Amino acid sequence: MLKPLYLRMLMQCIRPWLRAVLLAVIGVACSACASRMPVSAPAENRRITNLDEQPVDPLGAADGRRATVLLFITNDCPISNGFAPEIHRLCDAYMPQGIAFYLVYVDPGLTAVDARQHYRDYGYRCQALLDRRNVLARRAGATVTPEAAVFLADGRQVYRGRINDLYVDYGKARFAPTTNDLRDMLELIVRGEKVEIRTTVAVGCHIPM
Amino acid sequence: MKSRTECVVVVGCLLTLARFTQAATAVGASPPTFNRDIAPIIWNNCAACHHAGEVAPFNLTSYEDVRKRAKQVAKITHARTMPPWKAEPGYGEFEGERRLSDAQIATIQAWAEAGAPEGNAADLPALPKFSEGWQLGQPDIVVQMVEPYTVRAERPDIFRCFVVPFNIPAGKYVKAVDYRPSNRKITHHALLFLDNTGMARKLDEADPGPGYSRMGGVGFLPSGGMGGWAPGAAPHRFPDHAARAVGANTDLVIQTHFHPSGKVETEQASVGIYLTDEAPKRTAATVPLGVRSTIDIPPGARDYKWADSITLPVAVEIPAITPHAHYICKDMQVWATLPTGEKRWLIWIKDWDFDWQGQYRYKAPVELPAGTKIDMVYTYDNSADNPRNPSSPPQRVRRGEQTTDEMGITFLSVMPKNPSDIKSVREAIRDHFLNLRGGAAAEGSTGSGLGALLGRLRGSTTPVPTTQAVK
Ligand code: HEC
Repeated sequence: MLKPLYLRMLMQCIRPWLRAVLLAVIGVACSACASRMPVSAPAENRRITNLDEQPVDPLGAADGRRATVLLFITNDCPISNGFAPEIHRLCDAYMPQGIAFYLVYVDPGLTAVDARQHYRDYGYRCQALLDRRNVLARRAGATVTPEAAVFLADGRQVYRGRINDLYVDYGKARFAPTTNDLRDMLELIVRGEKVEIRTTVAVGCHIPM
Repeated sequence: MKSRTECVVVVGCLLTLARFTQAATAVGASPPTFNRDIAPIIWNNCAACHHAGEVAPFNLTSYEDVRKRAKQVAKITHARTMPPWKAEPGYGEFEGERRLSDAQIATIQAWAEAGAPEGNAADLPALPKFSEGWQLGQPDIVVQMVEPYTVRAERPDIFRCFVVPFNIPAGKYVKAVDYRPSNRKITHHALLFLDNTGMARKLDEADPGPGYSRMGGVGFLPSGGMGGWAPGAAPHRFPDHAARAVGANTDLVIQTHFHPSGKVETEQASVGIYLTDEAPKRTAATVPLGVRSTIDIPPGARDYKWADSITLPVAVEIPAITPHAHYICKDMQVWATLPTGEKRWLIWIKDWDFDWQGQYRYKAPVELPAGTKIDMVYTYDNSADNPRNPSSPPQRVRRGEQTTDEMGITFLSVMPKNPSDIKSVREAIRDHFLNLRGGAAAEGSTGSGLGALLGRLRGSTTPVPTTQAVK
C-alpha cells in the first residue's frame, strides 16, 4: 500500500485548513461507521483464543514439541471442509510424534458458538483457535483456507502452503492428490532431518483481510 | 497526542481517497454497488443453490455473504466455473441455462476491484422465494427411499442407485415428477428411471447397504425415464399428450450423485408423482449413441477420439439430450446433419466435468426430418497433465463401469412427429445396437456388432471391435 515516505511527503503538502476539512469529513464518516460496527474493544479482538475464548499463544509454548502446525480454516469454505478427513489423519499420525496442531478459524464474523458447532460437526480432535484479526494468518503469510504453516520449536517458519495438491483450481479437483506437501515436511521434522524453507500455492477460499 | 490523532485521521483519509481513485479508474465515475448492480445477478444466478440448506456450501443471500468472498466470486465467475453450466452457448438452446453474460461478469469484476461497496439500501431487490415444499402442490403419490443411506465424508463423489417399489393405478399416467432430497447439502443431482425387469432389485440385493453403486448408468436398460432433479431446477413435466405410462411390476430407480461434504451425512429422498387420466398419444424413445463402445485409450494419449452415429428413419422431435462419460473425457460434440447437408448442433461441452453431468432439455424440441444423421465425437485426455485422470501414472483405459474405465454415450430422447412411427424408431435403435445398419458405427467392421453384443452377454472380457474409434 502507501509507503511511509510517500505518506510523509503527502502530509507535508496538506495545508492546515485542508487538514481541518478532512478531519471534519472523516469525523462524520466515522460516526456513521461506528453505528454499524459491532461494539468491541480492539484489544479483545486481537487476542487469539481457544473456542472457549480463553487466550492461547500457539507459538509461545515451550513444551518440548518439535514443531507447530497452524491449519487455517473457515466453517463455510467447501474446500476447507472437504479436507477435514485428511486433517484428522494428519493429526492422528503426527500429534503423538511431538507435532502440535492448531486449527485456526479466520472468519472475523464467526462466533465462538458457531465455531464450536462446526468443530463438533466435523469431528475435529486437535486444538482450535479463534483469530478474528488474522494475526496468525498475517504472521504465517496465509491467504486462503485451507492453508498450512509449520513453525519449528525455535519459532522459525519452514513451510507455508497447501496440505496436498488435491485441488487444481476452484471446481477442479484431482481424483486423488499426487503430492503430500505438508506430510512430507512433517516427515522430515519427525525424522530429525534437515529442513529447507518451502512454500507452495494453496487453492481455497480467500481469507478476508 | 493531538498530532498523532491528526496523523491517523489523515492517513485514513488518504487511504479512503486511494480506494475511491482505484474504483474510479476501474469503472469510470460510479463503481457498481452491491444493492444496485450485484444483488440482482447473485439472486437470479447463484442464490437458488447458495441458500440455507441447499447443495452449495455457503449462502450468497446477503451483502455480507458476498462481500466477504468478493475476490473469489470475481475469480470464479470470470473463469465461468460458477454458475455451473457446461454446455457451450450457441450450440443448442437449453431450458434453465445457468450462464452469466460478459457484461454481468465485468460488473462483478469492477465491483470487487472497487472494494465491494454496498450502495444505497433502497436499491436492494427482494430475494426470490425458494420453495421448500412440493412445487406443484400435493402430489397424487409420494414414495420414499426405503431406508436412509449414509454418505461418507470424503471425495470422490458417489453415484448410487436406490430401488423404490411403487404402484401406479391402472388407467393413470404420470404427467409430472418432483424430487425432494432430505439432505440437500450433499445431493448434487438425481436421475429417475423405471425398471420392469427386476434387474435393479437383483443389483441391490448383491450390493451390501441400501442401494447399489454404479459410476454413471443404472446397470440395466431402463424401461423409461422419469426425469431428474438438480438444485434450482423445476419439477419434471412430461410434454402434452405424452404422459408416461408405467406398467405393473415396475420399480422406480433413483440414481443419486452425492458430493461428500467433509463429514458423514445421511439421505432419504422422497419422490412426488402427479397423475393424469389422459392416455399418452405420443411416445418418446431413447436413442443411446455410443453404447457399444470399444474405447481403448493408451496411457498418455491426449486427444483420443470416440465417435458414433445413427441415421433417423423418420421425422422426430428431440426434447432432451444427456451426454455421459467418466473422468478423462474432455470434449463432447453432438450434431445433426440434415438430408439437405445443413449442420445443426445438438450440444458442445468443451470442459466435461463428471461431477456436473445431467440432462439438458431444449427450450423448444429440436425438429429433425427423416434421413437426418446424428453424430457424436467425444475426446479423451489420458495424459498425466489431466488433473482429473483417476490413474497416476496414466493406465490403458477401456470401456467399463469402474472409475478408471471410460464410457462415451449420448442419450437422445426422440419423439416421432407421427406417433405411429415409434415402431420404426425402436427398430432403428435395435438395429443400431446390433450394428445392422449404416452410420459411422458400422464403418470398418460391419457385422461384428452382433458378435460383440453376444460376447458381452456371455461375459466375454475381450471385446470384439464393433465401432471404429478414430484416433
Ligand atoms: C446449480 C447450483 C449452483 C449454482 C447455480 C451456483 N453454485 Fe456456486 N457452488 C455450488 C456447489 C455445489 C459448490 C461446491 C463445489 C465443490 O465443493 O466442489 C459451489 C461452490 C462455489 C464457490 C466455492 C468454490 C469452490 O470451488 O468450492 C463459490 C465462490 C461459488 N460457488 C460461487 C457461486 C456464484 C458467484 C454463483 C452465481 C454466479 C454460483 N456459485 C452459482 C453450486 C452452485
